[in-house]
Amino acid sequence: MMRSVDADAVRALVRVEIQRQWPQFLKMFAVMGAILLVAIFTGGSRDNGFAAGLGASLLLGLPALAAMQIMRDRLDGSLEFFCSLPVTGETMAAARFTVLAAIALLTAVLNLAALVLTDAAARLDYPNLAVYVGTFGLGWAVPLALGATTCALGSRFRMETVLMLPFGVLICIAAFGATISRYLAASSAAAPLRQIFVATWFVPVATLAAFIVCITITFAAFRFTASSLAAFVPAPDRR
Amino acid sequence: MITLENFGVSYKSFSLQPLTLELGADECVALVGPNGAGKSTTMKGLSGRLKDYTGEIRFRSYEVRTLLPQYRAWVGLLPEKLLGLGWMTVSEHLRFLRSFYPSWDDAYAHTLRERLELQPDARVGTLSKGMAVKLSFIAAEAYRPPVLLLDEPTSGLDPVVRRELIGLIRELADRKESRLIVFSTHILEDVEFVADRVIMLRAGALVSDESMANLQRNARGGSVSGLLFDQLSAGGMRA
Repeated sequence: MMRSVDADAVRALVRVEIQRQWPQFLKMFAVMGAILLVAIFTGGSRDNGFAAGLGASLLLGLPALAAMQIMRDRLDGSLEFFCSLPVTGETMAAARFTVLAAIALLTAVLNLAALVLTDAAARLDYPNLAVYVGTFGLGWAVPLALGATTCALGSRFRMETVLMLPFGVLICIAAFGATISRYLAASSAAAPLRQIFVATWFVPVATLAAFIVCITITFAAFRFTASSLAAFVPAPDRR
Repeated sequence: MITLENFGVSYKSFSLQPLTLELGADECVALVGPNGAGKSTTMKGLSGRLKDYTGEIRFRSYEVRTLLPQYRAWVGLLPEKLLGLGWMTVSEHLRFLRSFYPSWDDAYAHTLRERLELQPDARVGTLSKGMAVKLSFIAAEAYRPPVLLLDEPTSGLDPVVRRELIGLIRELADRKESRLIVFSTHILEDVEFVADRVIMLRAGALVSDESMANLQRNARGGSVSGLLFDQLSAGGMRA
């Protein structure tokens, strides 16, 4: 019997996903890097608003990548190609989510680097980098994983149509957002992070951006996973 | 090897009447019929890419739907349209596919590629129709699947490439390696050269199912393609 997630297949799919994503990712960060350099040399980087804008742009880059990826899959027929492979939908979803989560983490690290290079991170407590990276990197992976799990369960019980309802997605996002907010408000471990947020007006912009990211990416994740289910159960000929 | 038992589909604009067929190993079967006869739908069913059908498609006594997605590793499919990622080179495309098929034979893929004169560094997205068919053929055959399905492999090809491909298919059929080859076409001359058995469909219904030997007898020294053309024309349709 075929394993539900085949590690070799995931590796091959991840490799090809990275090859596909890399040029877009590179372009996005080249542009951001150029803006950052200009800002540093012209002194604009001392403006907290700049850091906020930069952070928000980087945050928004990820859903843009995810959206582009899905659009491309639909337009160039590569989704059909992936669905023709002898792999389970879970394998395909695992590969896609691995790549997106890795990009999310890398984005968070680069976002952090940008903050370090500007005055916005002047009071950054270096031992707490993990909290920052964890919140912004892995925090995005949560809705992805949630989407994948829910879709997998939905497909198991044949509830694909129900899963596509946006209400379910919004409830998940609201629950996730509420949990993170409570954590940031109460946890002493998050104190350095909160301090940075309070020191700059990065908080409202970043929170809004993160919220938009979460919604967009969860929709993207849901749509992709639902589409990838075609590999699990082949799509009917609807002529 | 494959049994269709009352296999049928019903769409808004097309329905395939229940079809019962036994397709054995070492057979080279041609599915012929005019456009809209049900050839592609039958091919999709045989390749495990249909889920909404009535009746059963059994591979070695197992219902195909229960064997997915593993079943796709036992079936080589040359689809009507090349499936792949346009930015990949021919050799990258084949290397990528290798990860998903345990029986993939690199040396054989290389031999086929050389024989079909396909450039390894050509981009998949820039291949001509003929080259794309060649690549699809290699991708379908390189792991020597027990079932090889060729959906209109010679449609739209120039005479040289067409003859080359038909010769190769005939060669595979002559090897008698306990494999089933099914190809659909509306080019009746190809049928005469390649097939051991001809299944004719028209408007979603089985018209005839005859061995090539029988057809040759019935043609009484004339061409089999002429006889098939007469049978198709008798239904008021053009091949």
